[in-house]
Formats: sequence, C-alpha cells, structure tokens
Amino acid sequence: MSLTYVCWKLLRAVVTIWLVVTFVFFILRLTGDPVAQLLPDDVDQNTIDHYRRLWGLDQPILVQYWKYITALFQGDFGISFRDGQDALDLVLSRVPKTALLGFTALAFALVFGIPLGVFAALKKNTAFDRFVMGLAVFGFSMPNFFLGILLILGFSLHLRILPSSGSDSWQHMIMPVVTLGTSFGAQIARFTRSSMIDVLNRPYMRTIDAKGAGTSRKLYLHALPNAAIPVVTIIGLKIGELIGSAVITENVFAWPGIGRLLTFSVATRDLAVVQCILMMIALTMVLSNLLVDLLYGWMDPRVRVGTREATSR
Amino acid sequence: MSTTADLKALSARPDPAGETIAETRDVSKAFVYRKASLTRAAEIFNAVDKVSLCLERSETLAIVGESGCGKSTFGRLIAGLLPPSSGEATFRGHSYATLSAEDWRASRRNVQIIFQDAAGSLDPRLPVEIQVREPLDLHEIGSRADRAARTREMLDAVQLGRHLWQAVPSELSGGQQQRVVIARALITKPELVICDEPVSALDVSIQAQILSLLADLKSRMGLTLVFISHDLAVVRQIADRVAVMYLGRVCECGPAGQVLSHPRHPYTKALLSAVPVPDPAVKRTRLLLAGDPPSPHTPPAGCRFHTRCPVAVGICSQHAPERQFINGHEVHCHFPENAP
Amino acid sequence: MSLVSHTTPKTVAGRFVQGLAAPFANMPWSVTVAVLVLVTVALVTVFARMILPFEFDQMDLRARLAPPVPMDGSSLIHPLGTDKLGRDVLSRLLIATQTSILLALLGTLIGAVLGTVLGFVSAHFGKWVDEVISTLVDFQAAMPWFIIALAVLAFMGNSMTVFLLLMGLYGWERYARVTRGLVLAAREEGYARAVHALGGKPRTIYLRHVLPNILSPLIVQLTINFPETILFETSLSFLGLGIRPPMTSLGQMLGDGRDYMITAWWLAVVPGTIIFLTTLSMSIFGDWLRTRFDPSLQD
Repeated sequence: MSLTYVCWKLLRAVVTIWLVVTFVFFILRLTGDPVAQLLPDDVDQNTIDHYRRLWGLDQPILVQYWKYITALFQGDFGISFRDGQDALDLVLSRVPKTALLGFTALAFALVFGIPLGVFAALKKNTAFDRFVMGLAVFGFSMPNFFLGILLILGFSLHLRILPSSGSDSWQHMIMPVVTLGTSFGAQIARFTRSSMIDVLNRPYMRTIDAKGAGTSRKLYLHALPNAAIPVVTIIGLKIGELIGSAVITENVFAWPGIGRLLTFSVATRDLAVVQCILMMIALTMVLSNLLVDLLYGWMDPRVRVGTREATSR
Repeated sequence: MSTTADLKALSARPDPAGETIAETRDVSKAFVYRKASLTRAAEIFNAVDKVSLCLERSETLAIVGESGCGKSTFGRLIAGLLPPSSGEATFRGHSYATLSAEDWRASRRNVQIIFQDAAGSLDPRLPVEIQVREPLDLHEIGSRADRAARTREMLDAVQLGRHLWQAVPSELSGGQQQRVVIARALITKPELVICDEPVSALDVSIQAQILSLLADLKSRMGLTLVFISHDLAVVRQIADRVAVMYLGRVCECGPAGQVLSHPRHPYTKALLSAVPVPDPAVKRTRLLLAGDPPSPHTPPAGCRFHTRCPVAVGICSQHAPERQFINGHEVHCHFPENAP
Repeated sequence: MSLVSHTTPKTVAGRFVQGLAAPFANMPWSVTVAVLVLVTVALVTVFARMILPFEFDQMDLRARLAPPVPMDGSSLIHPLGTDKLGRDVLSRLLIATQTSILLALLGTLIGAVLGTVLGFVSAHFGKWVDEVISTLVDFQAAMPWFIIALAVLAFMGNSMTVFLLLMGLYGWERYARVTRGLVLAAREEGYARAVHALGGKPRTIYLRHVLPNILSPLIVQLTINFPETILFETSLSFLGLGIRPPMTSLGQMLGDGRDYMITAWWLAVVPGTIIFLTTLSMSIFGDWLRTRFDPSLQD
C-alpha cells in the first residue's frame, strides 16, 4: 500500500466531510429563520433581533458560513438554542449510549451472520442452506421499526418479561440490539455466503484440494481469509445504514442516544445541535469507509503491492 | 445465382490499377501509458511511429508483425477510426482530420473495418439480419424494400444459412459470426476494408473457408483490403503486398512474393524462419530471435531491431536506417540482404 | 446446422414475447406467492379509490378503536377495525398503500433515471465530467442520506416536493455506478465500437444498442432499490416527518398506531404487515430475477 494511496484516501475523506458540512449548513439555513420558528409568535421584534444578533443570524449567509467553518476548526460547534449548552458537549454526552447499542448490534450481526453464511455456503443447496437464506430474506425485508414494535408487543406487553423502554440494565438492551442487528446480520449472512461460494469455486481452491490439504486447513487458511475481503468492504459500506437504523431504533425504545437527541433537536429546530450530530455521523461514516479502504488494502495483497494496475486501467 | 450477378454489377466501378485510394504520411499515434500526476509528466509512447504507406485500389495489403507492434493501431489510423497524433491519414485524397463529424460518419460507407472478435462486435441482443441491415439504416441507403433485399443478397453472398438469419449472435458458431460481420461490413459496398486479424480466433479449417470467402468477395466487389495478421501462413494465401512492422515502424514492404520468399530485412527473415514448412526435404537455417521484443514504451535508439538483430553493428544502435528501395521493395535497414 | 433454429421464433415480435415470457417459466412457489402479493399491491395502488368502503378520513367518534373481525366486538362494517378517531382502518390502509407505493415508485424512478443518465454522461464524456460525476457519486454514497433527509424535512416542513426530491436522490448513485461501469464495458466489448465504425451516431449507439443490453442489470438494481425506497419513506413517515396528517401512508399509520399498542395493537400491526409483505415479496422476486437475468451478478 503506497503512501500516495493513503494520502489520496485521506484527502477524499476530508473533502467529503467538508461537502457534508457545507451542504447541511446551506440547506438548513435556507429553510427559514430558526429564531422565528423557535420563539413564540407574540414576542416583540426587539427580542427577535436580540436573539438573531446573539446567534449571529443577522449577518449575510456567507459570513455566517465562514464563521461557522472557522469555529469548527477551533472545536466550537455553537450552542444549543434550547438551553444554551455547548452543542458538542451535549452530543458527546450521548455518544456512549449509541456506541454501546451500535457495537453490540454489530457484534450480534457478525456473530450470527458470518457463521450462518459460511455454513450455508459449505452446505450449498441443502435444506439448511435454503432455510438460512429464507431467514435472511425475512430478516432484511423486515422494517426495523416494525420489528421493534412486534418485539414490544410480544415481550413487553404480552409476556411481560422485557422492559419496553430505557437503558438502565442489560435487559433493556436485548430488544434494541435484536431490532438493530437483525437486518444487518441477515445481509452479512447473505453476503458471506455468496463471497464464500465464489472463493470455493475459484481455480486455486481446486489446486488446494489436489494438494490433499485437510478440509479445516483449506477452510481456515485459504477460503475464509479470501472470502472475508468483500465482507469487510460491505460492513464498511453499510455503516451509514446502521446509523440510520439506530435513529429509528432509539426512537422506538426510547434509548437515550444520539438518535433520540437528533429527533428531539430536529423537532425543536435546534440548529447547532442538528448540525453537530450530522457532522459527527458523517465523520463516523467517512472514517469507517477509510478504515475499510485501508484494511482492504492491507488484506488484499493485490492492492498492497501498488497502484500500477489500478492506474493502467 | 442472381445474387452473384447483382454483386458483380455492383462492382462495375472504374478500376484503374495503380490509383491511390488511401495513404498515410509520417503518421504517428501516441498513447499515454502512465497518467500525469503532480510530480511527473504523463508518459507516452508511439504505438505507431512515422509510418508512410500508400494503398492502391483493388490490392490486398497485409500488415504483419508480432503482437504489440502497432499493426492494429495502424489499421485504425488507415481506417480513420483514430485521430493521428502527427502526420496524416487520407482516403481518396482527403485527410480524415479535415472531415466534419457528419462527413466522417458518411465516410464510413466507403471505409469499413472487420474486427478480430466477431462475437464482441455484434450486438448480443439483436437478430443478425437486423444487424447486417444496420449500416443501410444508418446511412439511409435505399428504400425499406431495397434494404431488405440487399440484406438478403449479402447474407446469401457470405453463405449464411437462411435458417440462421433470425438467430442472435450467441446461437451462431465463430465462423458464422464472422460471416455476419463480413456481411455487415460489405453491405454498403465499401471501397476500402480493413480486416484486423479476422480469422485468428477461428479454427484452422474455418479459417480457410473465411479466407476464400473474403478473397472471393474482394474480387467480385473490387474491394481494396488491408489485412492485418500475425500469421504468415494466412498472409501468404491472400496478400498482394506485405508490410512488416516492428515496434511501431515498418521495416520492410513490398510485393508478397518477394517479401515472403526473399526477405531483405533480418526481422522478416526471422519471422519467416519461425513458420513451419510442410516439406522435410527443405533445409533451413533456423534464425531464432534472442529474448522478447523490447517494451514499446521505451523503444531502443537507432534501428529499433538492433537489440535482437543477428547482423547489428555499432551504427545500428545510433542511427535509424533510411528508407531505401530495392526493385520497388521498401526496406528500412543499414544492411539489407541483397537479392539472391 | 444449428440446434436452436427449430425452437426459435421467426419474427422479432415472437422472439420478443418469448424473451419476456421465458424468465417466468418454472417459478418456485415462493416466487409465485411473491408475485401474487405484488400484483395485489399494484392493483390496490391503481384501484384504491374505487374499492374504498369509506372515505379514508371519515370519522365516526362513536365507533373508536373497534377491533378487527375475528375479535370480540368487531363488525363486518369495519373488517379491520377503526382507529382513535373511528376512521375505517381498511379504507385508510388502501389509501396508505397507494400513497406509499406511488411515492416509492416515483422516488425509485427519479433516482433510476437520474443515475442512469449521469452514468451515461460520465462514461460518454470521460475526462473531467467523469471525475466530477464520480466524486458526486462517492459523496452521495458517503453521506448519511437518511439522516440528512430527516433534518431537511424537519426544517423544510410539510412539503411533498421536497420529500419526493429527497427520495429521488436516495440511491441514484448506485444506478450511476452500475450504468457507468456497464457502458464502459459495452464500449470495450466491441459492439458499440463496431457500430461507431459503421457510422452510427452516439445517440444510435447508446439508445439502440447499449441501453437495451444493460437494461437487465438496471432492472435488477431497480428491484433492489424499490424496497429500500419503501423503507425510506415509511421510516421517515413513522418518525412523523414524511407523510403527515391529514394525508396518510403506511409508515404514518404505523407511527400513529404505536401510541395505542396496549389497547389497539392492530393499528400498528396491520400497516406494518403490509410494509413487510411488500418488501419481502419484492426482495424474493428481485433475487429470483437477478439469478435469472444474470447468474454472475449474484451479490
């Protein structure tokens, strides 16, 4: 993996973040005056002007944009219009809860998805394979908000064994994790299966068979590492989807993370907080994509050797 | 067969031998093989390097050489499909570069190209009859009925069974696909047809059929053919004149009989000595070339062949040989072999 | 000579019909069921207004939260029960299905057309045009579009145009990527190059030759994106941001029904089931279409 490759990817990541920040800034500013929307209808013009000055909304939009960008570089994301709290602090205080939910759901998806996908591939076209793949289609066709509601109906309201909202104990985590992880796990299973079948069908696997290598050696040493490459890529590409699902899941289960904060801030038109969250999410996505790119380069020697092939195409 | 008569009638155009139909003057084509970046300029190489060649009406010129010598690129330059980087390629006295997009498209009526990959150059989805008719549709030649009739004639002329006319290309064999491609190329009655390795993807038995079909159509329609091939056995069957290319340059060009039986350039000799002769009584000295051809990206200075040439001396690595004519036979070598 | 010639229809039209019908031979039962569901959904979308038992917003405050038919206290007048304002759930469901499907269809089509056109443009012009479009594609793929849509909708308020635009922009980059790759491949492949050499105009080459040849993978992409667009719409409406009252969509009904989970669970379960069945059927059908059209394209 050449230095140029890494630099190029980094540059692209920075540009993407800048584009997201700019896009969000202008779109949200163009939708109207947050002061007028935030304050009650009967306040006098002086109060409105006061708040406009306070939040810098009286200046031309390009000046606002410049100030916003320069402030970002100093780590200043503005203050919440609602309660005057620092937007970044507010957002960061919610991060652990979302990270806990997100990573647990990711682990849940991988722990179920990868082994099921591998076994389905090894037992291709058997009843087991068809069953697992049928389950997978069900899994990713199921809207997560509906799955969440079904779980609440079943386990909280009917069986009364799991709490339907909050985040105080490990029992609180079960349903949100299943809700968030199911669709993802189903996609991982499908993808692992096809990647695995693809690898098993390659000519070099036949060579390995011909060498007389044992089944487990063949599986762990040759098939799995090669099959893992596209699976890693797809995990990185789906992080955005996972975050989107997390927003809904947090809403269904009243999980006090970023997603709840986002829907709340959006409902109360808390511009600074919304912008901060969007930027955080974009940052997470870009970083995970970057990580996947680099991991991919490290895992696939063809990319690691250099970019010669890539440029000559 | 009435179609034969029709095709003969089509070919009743003035046919003065020796008239120049197409020509290239010092034509070069450069390709980028490494894109420019912030730290370095783009690296380019000349796939074809200052080649001048004259094509006479109704002749068959074969261009031979190893893969990568630029013969396909040169074929596309003659056909006007690629804009040259320098020099010019003309057809009937007009440089392709001076044509408007509209005129260039119109010129395709008269200049056609047959690619090696017949399957690839056919639309996989359309029945072959429609594809053979397509050039007539594109150039709006004749009425609907005329076009249909001409398509049928042409398909008969390439001897494609009628039951295959509605087939899609994947239902045809390689030889049948090439017949379709030939029919499509010839349906506008072009004057110049460039055949880029038209038979090298086919079985030997099919090769012979396609070659004799091409030779037959050529004489019936009075075509001028440029026949690009790496296979000297094939070239021997069809060519009037042969040009041998090495690393983007022509090293020898002359009447097929002379070039193939009495080569003057050491490279041609080497090429010929690699062709098996079906007569064990013939004693030959095998002339083996050392090593692979140098990369076309960084061609050797002087005579491009000197790194592998058995007779090279000092001057060969310093100066490119001038073109010289020996009995109307063009050679680019400091030490051409004299006539036997 | 050729083995296939006897089974091949002689006319172009015959071949076309056969080509259309061929993929539907030997459908597994799961695909048959999926197709039936999709046909039903399509019929509902077209004829919802005609089969409506009640106006979808007609209230009957005396019959609030009536249960659906097999349950105690249900009546055949409201076979799927009524909601908090006594509106007929069946009627609302029909209209909601119509709204959701139409929106998803429009959104998918906007994205497909936009992406396909940009893919063609990118492949045709190359150079900086290609660079710009490719950067836009990467940008779109790296943006948390659902979240941005959520924010934009919240700030823009209840605008159908904006909502449709956001849905149309969702996923366009995939068509652009697929199209660009396919067009470049088609040009490399030779038939496009050959038609160019025959004197064909770019328009002829792209519309007559390239587009029909890359249509199957694009349709497959469409079947992948369509259920995702349905989920995009229903998710936003579920959060109260997409389709809002007085209009209704499947997501909006589900979001509404969520508040009555203890007393009237069917208000959430009925629309949720319809969403699930539709996306499930589309996925099953799409999977099958994909293996049919292009076995090499399996994931």
